[in-house]
Amino acid sequence: MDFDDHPVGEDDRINPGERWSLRGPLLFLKHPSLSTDADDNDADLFWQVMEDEQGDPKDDGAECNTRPHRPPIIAWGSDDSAFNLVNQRNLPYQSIGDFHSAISEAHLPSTVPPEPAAALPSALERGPILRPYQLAYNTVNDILICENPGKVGGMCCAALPINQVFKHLTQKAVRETSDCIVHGYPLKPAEKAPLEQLLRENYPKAPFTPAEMQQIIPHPDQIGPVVGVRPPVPGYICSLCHRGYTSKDAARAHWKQKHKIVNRNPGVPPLATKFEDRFFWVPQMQSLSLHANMIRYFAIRPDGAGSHSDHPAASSDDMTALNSLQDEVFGPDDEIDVDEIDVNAVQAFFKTSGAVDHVAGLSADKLIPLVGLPRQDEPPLVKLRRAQSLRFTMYCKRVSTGSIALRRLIVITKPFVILSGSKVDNYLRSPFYATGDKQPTRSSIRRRCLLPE
Amino acid sequence: MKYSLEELRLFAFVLRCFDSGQYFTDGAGGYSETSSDTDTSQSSETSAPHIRNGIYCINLTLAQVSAIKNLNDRLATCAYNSKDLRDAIDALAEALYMPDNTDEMLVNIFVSPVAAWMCLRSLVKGGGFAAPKLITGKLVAGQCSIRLCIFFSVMRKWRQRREAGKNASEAEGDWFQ
Repeated sequence: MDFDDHPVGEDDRINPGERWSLRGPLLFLKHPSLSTDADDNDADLFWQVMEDEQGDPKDDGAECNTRPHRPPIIAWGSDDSAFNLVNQRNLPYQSIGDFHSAISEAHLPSTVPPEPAAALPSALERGPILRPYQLAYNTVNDILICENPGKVGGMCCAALPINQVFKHLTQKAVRETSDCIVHGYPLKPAEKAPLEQLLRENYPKAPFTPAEMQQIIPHPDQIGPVVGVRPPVPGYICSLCHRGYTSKDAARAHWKQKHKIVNRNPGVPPLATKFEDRFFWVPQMQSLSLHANMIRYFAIRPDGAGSHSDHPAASSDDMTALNSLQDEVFGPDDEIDVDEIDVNAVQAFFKTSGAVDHVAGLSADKLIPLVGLPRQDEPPLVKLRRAQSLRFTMYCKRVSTGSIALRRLIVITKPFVILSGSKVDNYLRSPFYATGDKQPTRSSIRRRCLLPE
Repeated sequence: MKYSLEELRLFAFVLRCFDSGQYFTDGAGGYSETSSDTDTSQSSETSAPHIRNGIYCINLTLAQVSAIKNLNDRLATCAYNSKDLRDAIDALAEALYMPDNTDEMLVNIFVSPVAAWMCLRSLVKGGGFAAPKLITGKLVAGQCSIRLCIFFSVMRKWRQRREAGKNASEAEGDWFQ
């Protein structure tokens, strides 16, 4: 369905998995008037194209509400600064938090967006205790989440156990490879205990230690990712303990460390030895945090249509937008049927080359066996097949050797390149080649120079 | 290995045609001489000289015929991994890929068994030619074999030339300048 054909009304509300889906680090939402991330040049280009297609955005006025709306692109983890254009475009949300809440509830407004505070029940709560530290509380999964600047689309997005909050906010340095950045809150050590106490009182379900946080997994009936933390990634889930790993090597290491003993236990039925039987691949898994001692990937149930496929499928709306963008950048495609080109071109080729005349009047079914592989009733050709395999393999190896020799020739400078005949003897006597006790032989130099023995 | 099988099809093609007498040997004017005993209708089929009594025939040069005979002999007497058999295959490949009737190919490309082989490889059952997607892989394999053969043929001749006592610099000048 094209954007311009999309009717506006009650059905314009977001249906999870149908109207929005994850596209890597971006969220594509079919919703009116939401802004792009201001720093995203590609998204800006996308908007520019869409605006050019739909006319001047400034002349909408009252007509704007009756016109089909554009799908916005919101970077995952965008902070409030990305919503600077919100007011310019009369967006219904005051912050990225409101927006994420709307996503989590699949409750985006329709034509006339209601007031977000009233209409959008939030999965992320930002109470007065959390707000000064830019923290949020996921009311669905009961975790504290850091919304300070970070590396996930500009936001930290790390889930925090309570006893790590102080350290996370105040630490002065992080490893270069860490996904975190220094938040630099000027808190005094004396404030640590009161802060933790306050958090425990107000959020008693929140995990206190990293070990407790590692026990958190999505609810059995939960569909879609855990809101507020890093977006899902594909990976491998252990069939025994259901821990996830992003690479096969890490998964193998886990099995070797945790489950190797299982195979040795007497009475335990032997486990499968294949990787595919030990781990199963999932299109989406998440970890609440990527801090060293808190990584624990778990599988999530992709929302909506995405649950039926390995990768979220692009909708026709996405394709329309992509085609528009491509047309803008590269120009419209020539309106020629590719299949027709192939057929016509190949037939013309066969005609002009004489191939059609060459086989005219002959049965293809009789000609094709002539160029078939050797049959069992053709012993000489069967022997030829074995000989040909040997010959071809040998040639391929020689080509490889020749390539190596050629590379060596190029690297080893000109004395080797044009060395031949008497020049070899001169070169052997030259100080240039005095490379120690072991002197090169004439034949070794010839080999290096690809010269015949 | 698929590439080698594609070239094997070519060898099998020419050997089958030769063994069943489905071939001509070229003379001064191309299709002037035939080894087949079914050339009584040649005058009536000048428009399609490669079809004799409804049977498809290929055109072979004398060098190609010699190489095929040599290969047949080696196939009958040598082990599959013998050097003689390999040399015989090399000789046939060289005769096919670097024939001495290239002038005639300007008039009719299908005097080359290689071109005829590619034409037949493009056919599909029931008649007609395959889609380009299906042909490309075969063409690539064939071209690889041709280039491989020419590469080693040139190297071999270069070495033979040097071993024949030619001055090294002269030889290099001839080949690479």
